[in-house]
Amino acid sequence: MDEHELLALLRAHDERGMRELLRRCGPLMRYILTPILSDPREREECLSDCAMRVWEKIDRYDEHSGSFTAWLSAVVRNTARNRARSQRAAAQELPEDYPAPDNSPESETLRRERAAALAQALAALSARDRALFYRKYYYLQPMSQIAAELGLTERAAEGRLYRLRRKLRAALGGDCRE
Amino acid sequence: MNDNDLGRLSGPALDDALEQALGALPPSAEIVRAVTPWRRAMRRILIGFALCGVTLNFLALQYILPAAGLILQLLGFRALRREGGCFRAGFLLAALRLGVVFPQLAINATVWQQDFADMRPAALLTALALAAQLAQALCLYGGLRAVRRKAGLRPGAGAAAALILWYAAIALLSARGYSGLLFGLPLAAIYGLLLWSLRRADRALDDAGYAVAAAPVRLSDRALALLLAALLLLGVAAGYLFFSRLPMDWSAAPAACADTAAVRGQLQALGFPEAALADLSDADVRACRGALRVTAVVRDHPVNEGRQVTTRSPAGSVTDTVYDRRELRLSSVAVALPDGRWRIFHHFFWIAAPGFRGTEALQLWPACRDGMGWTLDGDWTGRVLCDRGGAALAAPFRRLGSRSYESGSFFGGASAHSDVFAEFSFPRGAARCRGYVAYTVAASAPGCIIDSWVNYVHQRSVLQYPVQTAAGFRMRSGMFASRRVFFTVQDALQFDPADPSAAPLG
Repeated sequence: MDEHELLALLRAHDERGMRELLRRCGPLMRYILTPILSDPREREECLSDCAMRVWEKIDRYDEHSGSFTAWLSAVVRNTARNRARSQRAAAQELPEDYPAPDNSPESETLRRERAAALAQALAALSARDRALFYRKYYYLQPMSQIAAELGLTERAAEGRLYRLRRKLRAALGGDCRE
Repeated sequence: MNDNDLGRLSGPALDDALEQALGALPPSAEIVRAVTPWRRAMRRILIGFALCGVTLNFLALQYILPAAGLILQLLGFRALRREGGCFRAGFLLAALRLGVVFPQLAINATVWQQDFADMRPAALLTALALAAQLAQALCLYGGLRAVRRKAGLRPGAGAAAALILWYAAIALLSARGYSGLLFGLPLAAIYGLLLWSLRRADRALDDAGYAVAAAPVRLSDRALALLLAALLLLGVAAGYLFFSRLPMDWSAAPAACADTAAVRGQLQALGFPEAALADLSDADVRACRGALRVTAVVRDHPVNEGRQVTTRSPAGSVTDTVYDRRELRLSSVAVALPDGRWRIFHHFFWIAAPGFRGTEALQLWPACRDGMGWTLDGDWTGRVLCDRGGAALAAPFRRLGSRSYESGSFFGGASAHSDVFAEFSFPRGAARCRGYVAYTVAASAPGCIIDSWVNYVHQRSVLQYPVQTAAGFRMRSGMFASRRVFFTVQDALQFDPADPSAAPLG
């Protein structure tokens, strides 16, 4: 079954689409979940959540805006991150004066500005550096995993990331020193 | 806050902000493809197989590409070595092949490479490397099946299985010494197809590949590749620097014994060239006791390409090669012995410094070759001499004697030969480099002329890989070989021994 057939089944809410999604994209989804959720049981639950989200939101996916795998990656990453965050929040007893999430128009504007500035800075990086950056800050992979997959020692991977962060800070108008 | 907001942050605050901001920037398809534990390793393995399977016989690519392929295979299998026994075995086999092939590549840069290649262990090592390559294809096949199984897919790796069969066919043809195009071209085409199918299978496995975990490394891929390349280059450089000349047993040249003075005087009086006579060992002088007659030819030969000079005349223009320098003096001398035998000397003397000092060789086509009416009586003798630091040095030839060999013939195929070779090298900084080879012949048929040829082969450059000695070059390169690395000077002594008044021919 190719990707078009998979998408067609998902859009038609055909259960075979769900099975094919898990069979075909299960390894990728678990690969993204693993660094974010350390508990295997949590991961399996989250995998089901992710599959449900794909099932529900498949109509929002536009083939012209990017690959299905990229869209799926974003769904899985965000679902896992939200789950991890809520887990952390549940585990900690927050003080009464703990600030609520800031959803004001000002902070939304700030987030957009940050994203735009970051997109501009990332565009100036090499493809290799961009991938490294996404591994660290998007896929939230631990340094040991990044190093192993890039054929680097952890120390060398940390060094590369350090230099990359400095470069980015400079591109974002900050001081090169950390 | 403005664009500089993120730039002002640092440490964990920057990390948090980047993590948050990146949530709004989903990865492009390019990044999704790049973030995988599988593709990089698999691509290296496949490119490694491709490079190890192709042979491009120019610019030393037949050595460089497989060496690069071996390194890539090692890196690829290393990343996957924790993903089951097959990939681990593939990694160990890649290391084994490196351990076999890289020392061989370094030995290729020494004058011993041909000796090593002719030895039985070398053939065994080559067979071992080929078997390891076949086993690696098997490991790839098993590894791909295991990954598919792990990802919950139907195991199957047809292209890798076909690759195993391909390597088996190559091993079979190699064992039978086959080198023709009848099977070669189809096999090359099949190999290309197999790699293409493997590449496709690899792409199809991209989704399953997320199930593997890359193994951590203590030495980064780049550092390991650079280290291996540096070791190889060092080995090759050491070969060129320290083993580009034949080891010689140099010692102070012994002074001539007083009891040979009379024979030396007699030979000189008969016309033996004085410079050549001075280099003869006492034993060779004594072998000429009672000499009746000496026939000698002395010629100076260029060991350079000369320059082209065009002379124009009403009849047209003629281009000649003019030699301003003639660096090598060859003296061929025949001494008639009282019992009817002849002792023949081929002496050389470098009038000018030989230039690059690598290996040298004298190839003889002696008077006693088949059907020439003369038989060899006794052994081949001779030595090389030079002056260094004001002292005269002498050494026996590294090798002196008859060698059988096969070389390409003018009409194609190989032809068998057996010639006499004297192999030697001169030390750096040596002056007045010289030497000779001598032998004795007895008539086996009446009325035959003495016809003794010498080819002096001089190595003029280090730029050759694999390294050949001067003698090896003569034996393997045939008659139309390039003069880029080796330069051959030919001379002959031809005369009728029955006619004392006749001058030598030529």
